[in-house]
Amino acid sequence: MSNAVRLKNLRKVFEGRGGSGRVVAVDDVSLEVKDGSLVTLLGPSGCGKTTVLRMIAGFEAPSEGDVFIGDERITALPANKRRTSMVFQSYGLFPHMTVFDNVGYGLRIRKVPAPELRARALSMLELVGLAGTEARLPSQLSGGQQQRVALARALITEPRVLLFDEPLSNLDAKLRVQMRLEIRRLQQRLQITSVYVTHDQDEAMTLSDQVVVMHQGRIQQVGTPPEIYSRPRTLFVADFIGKANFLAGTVRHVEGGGADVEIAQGRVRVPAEGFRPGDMVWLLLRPEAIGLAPAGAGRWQGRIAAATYLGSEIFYEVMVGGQTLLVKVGHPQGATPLGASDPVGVAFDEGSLHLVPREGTA
Amino acid sequence: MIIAFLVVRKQFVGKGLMDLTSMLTFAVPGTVVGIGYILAFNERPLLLTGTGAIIVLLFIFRNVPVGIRAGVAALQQIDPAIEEAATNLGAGSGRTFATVTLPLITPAFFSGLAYSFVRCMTAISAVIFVVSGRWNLITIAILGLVENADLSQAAAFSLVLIAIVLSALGLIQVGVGRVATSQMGYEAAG
Ligand SMILES: Nc1ncnc2c1ncn2[C@@H]1O[C@H](COP(=O)(O)OP(=O)(O)O)[C@@H](O)[C@H]1O
Ligand SMILES: [Mg+2]
Repeated sequence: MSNAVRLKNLRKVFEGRGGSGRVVAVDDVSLEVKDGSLVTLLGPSGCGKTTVLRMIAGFEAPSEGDVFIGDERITALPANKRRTSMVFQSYGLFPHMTVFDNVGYGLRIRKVPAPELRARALSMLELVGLAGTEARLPSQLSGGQQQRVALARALITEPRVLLFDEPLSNLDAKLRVQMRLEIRRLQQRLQITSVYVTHDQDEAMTLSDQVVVMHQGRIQQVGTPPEIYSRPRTLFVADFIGKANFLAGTVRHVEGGGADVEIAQGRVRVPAEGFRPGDMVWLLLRPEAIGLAPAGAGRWQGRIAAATYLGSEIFYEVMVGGQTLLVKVGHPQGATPLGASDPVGVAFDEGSLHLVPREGTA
Repeated sequence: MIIAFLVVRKQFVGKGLMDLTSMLTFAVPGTVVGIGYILAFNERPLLLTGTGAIIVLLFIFRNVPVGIRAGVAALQQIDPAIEEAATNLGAGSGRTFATVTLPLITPAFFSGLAYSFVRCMTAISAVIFVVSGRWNLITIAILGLVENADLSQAAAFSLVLIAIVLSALGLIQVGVGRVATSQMGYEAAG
């Protein structure tokens, strides 16, 4: 039986109380999460990610649209019958139960016999690396351990779909990195269909088979992490994911999978599809795709405006023709960083450029 | 407790009204409530005036709001994710309430109970109208004695009252303490 999740034209409107206005939290979201894959919903706070997740779990009823798991339409199915398991940002552990009782809860509801329940709960605890903690209360565990308990509790019922709502955002940075690798490892090992909500792009990039970028209740783009990063389709996606320089330009000529674009600094040829002459565009230049050359060399000439030293790399702000470009340079051991107002050349490969539509495009 | 649950967690028509009604006997002055009870229960088939039952009834209804308030406050402290997690794992709403919500608000319930008890023991305003020769209350007896200038007996009664209240409070404290220890985690984490 397939456990793919399908969302069809989901829409959620929250009616404000006492005329405080309506909020369209989710607007026409259609999406397919393939059986056994992990899809992240990525976007800034308030863009509707949690609401989508809660509609899959059954905690919110869609205003319009449908939710399917496999071929089954579950839009009207109560949350406790859906066999979806959620891992919450605040863990949501039962504070009055031991770790063991927390993990075993779902099986107790299903009236699994005590010996089997015990065996499964203990092996689940072992799976998440918490063997030996079963008699403790959640409050006697660290945040990372609590989230592992929540994970074990969610996994033990063998849910059809696993849902994560920013599960790592209460943990410190180092633990976050470690936990997300563990979540990915477990998810792949168990081949469990998962929807993962986060506002952290690194998390989305490292975890996902597919990333769904959302903005103001709508899906902006769906793609693999490399697609999202190197071929964003809108200014929002390009700006939200990673750092980027945007240069305003106009398409002058289109030919054979490329476009000639005129920008303030001159003309460049950019790999592009679906653009026509006259289109207004943003030319996207990732900081790591730009290199610095000695003054006089490179494509454009500029001056260093500022340098930020980060250990393994340096970010330079380079003034080029009245515009500041952010340039990332892997810090060569021992070399002296360039100083403010040093003249430099700016080099890049035209193949690394990318276009997104600019407001006003026909 | 169930009313508290409904008020905090559910959205429904008349929610505000229910919350308000539950507060009403609290807001009305005690004497008015007392007279109201006499008038209401003075005729068949609800002839309760002069019985012990009317005293008990009055106390129950007058103190329900305290329980509800305590429950509401406790519920608002509980992360909704905890109940949603239970639902998510397959528990229906009744099951969720019994296994998760109720145990978490029990300490609040006992605190509410302690408060209500003290109020009952020392109440005078409303009950003064519903007591009778057979079913009197110690507070009212004290008041009567003071009016008769029988201060020594009044003082003795007062002492007894204080002793009863304190020892009962102590008992409830022990009870709450036991529940609270088993849930120490919750308090500490909160
Ligand atoms: N229960 C609710 N009642 C009213 N508005 C809500 C409710 N839940 C969410 N919203 C609104 O819906 C929008 C999307 O919220 P949410 O899905 O939580 O965003 P995200 O998880 O992406 O931060 C926000 O504007 C939020 O204020
Ligand atoms: Mg959210």
